[in-house]
Amino acid sequence: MDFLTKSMILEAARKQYLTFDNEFREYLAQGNSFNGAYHHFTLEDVEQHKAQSELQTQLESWKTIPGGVKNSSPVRLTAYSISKILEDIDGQLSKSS
Amino acid sequence: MLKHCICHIHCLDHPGVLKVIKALVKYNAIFTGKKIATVTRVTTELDIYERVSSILNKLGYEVITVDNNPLRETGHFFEQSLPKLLKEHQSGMLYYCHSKGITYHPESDNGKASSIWTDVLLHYTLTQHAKLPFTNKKYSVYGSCLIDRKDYLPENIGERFSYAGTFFWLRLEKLTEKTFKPHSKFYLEGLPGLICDLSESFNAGPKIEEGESPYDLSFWDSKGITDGFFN
Repeated sequence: MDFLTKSMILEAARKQYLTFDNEFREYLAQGNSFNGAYHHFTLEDVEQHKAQSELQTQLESWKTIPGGVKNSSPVRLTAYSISKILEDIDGQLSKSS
Repeated sequence: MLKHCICHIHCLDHPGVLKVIKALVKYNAIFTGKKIATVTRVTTELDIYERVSSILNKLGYEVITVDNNPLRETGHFFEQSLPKLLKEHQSGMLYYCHSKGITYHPESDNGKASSIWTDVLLHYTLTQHAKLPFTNKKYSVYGSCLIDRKDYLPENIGERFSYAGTFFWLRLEKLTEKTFKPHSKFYLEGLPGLICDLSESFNAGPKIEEGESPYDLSFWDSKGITDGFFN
């Protein structure tokens, strides 16, 4: 990936993920240049902040009081999905019966 | 002595559902009597509903699809299963459990605490079930996480005691359709304390004392209990 494309992705990520923007600013505050920051931060960093941001969004949407009720998942928890595991258990029971 | 099971599974795509389903699969042989499951059909998570229903069918459960009722919750579902059980059996031991902790995100503090809590309930009511003194007629209800506190459940439902988390074994002779009149979503949790005296209760594992809450991770930390307690 060329430098310009990477810097554009990093700038877009700063707007999207507050935690990444804070880290980017801290790096600049240490006396580093923008170009230095574009070299320093990686696309993996962006992915990490994206995952962190998604988790925060999920945590917010799932907030409830003890004993609260949910008719359906506010946001489907793809990272914790049990669908495939249930499918496997069902398949094993089919074989054993 | 026949051992019956009534359970309720709210079919969300959530690890709390899986935890209880795995336990019911692993310990299916315990249940020598009637097995009834109510399952809620959540339109956004139909794949989970279909798999859960299929698994429970294969385990020998009579599966009843129900609509959710947030106002009366577990008591509402239990009310639909109980007559089917009592029609065929009036004696034996009845086990009750449900998909627990599924209203919380698994990474939230309450979610983590609920996961450990579920582990503890499953451990003491299923893994250790052979150690429960069912033959001792002194006892009529058996569970874990006993709370002997009038203020724990609202509306004075649990006037004497309850098993926090609502997983318990109950001597079926103590229960008739007439004695079960759910009017609140906490009714089922308070049921053991409504139909039995504290002296008839057996508690395995931790008891929850004044000022303690199983919703707090610190409560489980203080007991040295961590996630994965149930295997």
